[in-house]
Amino acid sequence: MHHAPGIHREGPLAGEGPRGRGEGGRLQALRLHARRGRFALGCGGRPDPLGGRSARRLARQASGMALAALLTVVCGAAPGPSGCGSACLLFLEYRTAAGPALDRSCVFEPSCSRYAEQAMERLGPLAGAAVAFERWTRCHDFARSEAGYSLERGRIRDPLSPGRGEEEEWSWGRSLLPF
Amino acid sequence: MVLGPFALALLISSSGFADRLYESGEYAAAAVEYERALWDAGDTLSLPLEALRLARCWQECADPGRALAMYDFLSSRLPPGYWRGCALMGAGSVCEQVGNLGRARQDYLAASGEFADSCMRERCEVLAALCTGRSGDWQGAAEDLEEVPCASLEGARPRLTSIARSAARPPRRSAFLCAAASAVLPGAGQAACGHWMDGASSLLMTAGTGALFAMSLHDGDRAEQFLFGWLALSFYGGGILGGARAADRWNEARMQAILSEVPEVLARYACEPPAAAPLPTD
Repeated sequence: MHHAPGIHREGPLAGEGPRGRGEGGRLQALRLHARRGRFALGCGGRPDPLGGRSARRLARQASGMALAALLTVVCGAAPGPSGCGSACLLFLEYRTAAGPALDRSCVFEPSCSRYAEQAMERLGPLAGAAVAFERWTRCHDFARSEAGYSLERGRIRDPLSPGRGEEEEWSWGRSLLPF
Repeated sequence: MVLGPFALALLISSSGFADRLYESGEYAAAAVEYERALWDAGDTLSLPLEALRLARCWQECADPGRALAMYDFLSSRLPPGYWRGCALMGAGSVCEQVGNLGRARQDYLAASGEFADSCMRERCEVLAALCTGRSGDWQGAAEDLEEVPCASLEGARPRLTSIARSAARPPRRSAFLCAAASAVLPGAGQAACGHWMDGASSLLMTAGTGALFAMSLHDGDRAEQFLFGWLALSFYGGGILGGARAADRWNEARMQAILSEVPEVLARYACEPPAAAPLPTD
């Protein structure tokens, strides 16, 4: 009889159904997990020292968390109801440490981290994050050449909401004054 | 008696120095010199050109409130005629600059009634019509421009009328439709407005975080579900908002492109200042 590595197909508890109590039910569950690829058992039929989790799953989790951490730090947003407070700390940390170290220069004025900080302060963690992520998806080197942006010293002027006196003032009549 | 001619010579030389500063664009320094000249003269209304230039210096130095106060003072105290028209025109330009377009239009129309020469009168009427357009009624602006007598604006008026008609019906993108397109396919609204990279990055980030959220649902990890769900939702919502904003930026860019020719047309037909400025008469 061929035994699958680590799984005893036959034994004293092999006849019990999946809903049975005791070792049979656990074995059935292990088989189910093994079929799904969620658990891989180590050599000798024992779970591996990583708590029964495969390297693939751990790698996937690690890459996911790394992406989330990157997004959290770059975009300056943190989840949860207390997102605004932790986000402000992240913005400060990013601007003082990570930003210069990575030599990342935002194409916008104000920069994406300041914009995200303002958005989170004004709109809260949910709507503020959406506004911040919308800005972040626009922050690339091709933005300078796209239509609809006004450049200011090589950076795109894009405030969250133009305050009093920040609107562009212009007058056609000024060029025609005869004095 | 001995100091009289000397003081007059000093006053003239001070004003001449201020004029040189003004013509070279040194408005802050020119304002100081004009203030000194007006103080020495003792009566602001006796030197209307210097007073107008002082107001213009304040206007150029980003102090529109002070400039408007001076223009209003001059337009209310000077006798009807050329200088009063200049003061009203200056007040109109300040109001136009700060966005008070209704008052600007009134001032320009009042100024047009003060000028005897057709050149300045027609330009004031053109500026009043353009204020109507800037306040949103470009169709009305085109009709007003057609009624302006064109003795000196023969080349400019048809061009300005054509610009006003184009601005009345500019090409537009609907913000609602672009947002809806982004809701169906993230990034589609941005791409429809020509912002291809914005659309691509929005699509990639929404799809990436959505895939991570789906994986976390499959794995049953609550912390990951919360984190990736929040990220995916934020990117999706941000994409919809981005579609609407892309449409707004597209519309604004098209309007700016249409109106970008107006200053060039106006500059081509600017009136020369009079060689001998008429003196104010009581």
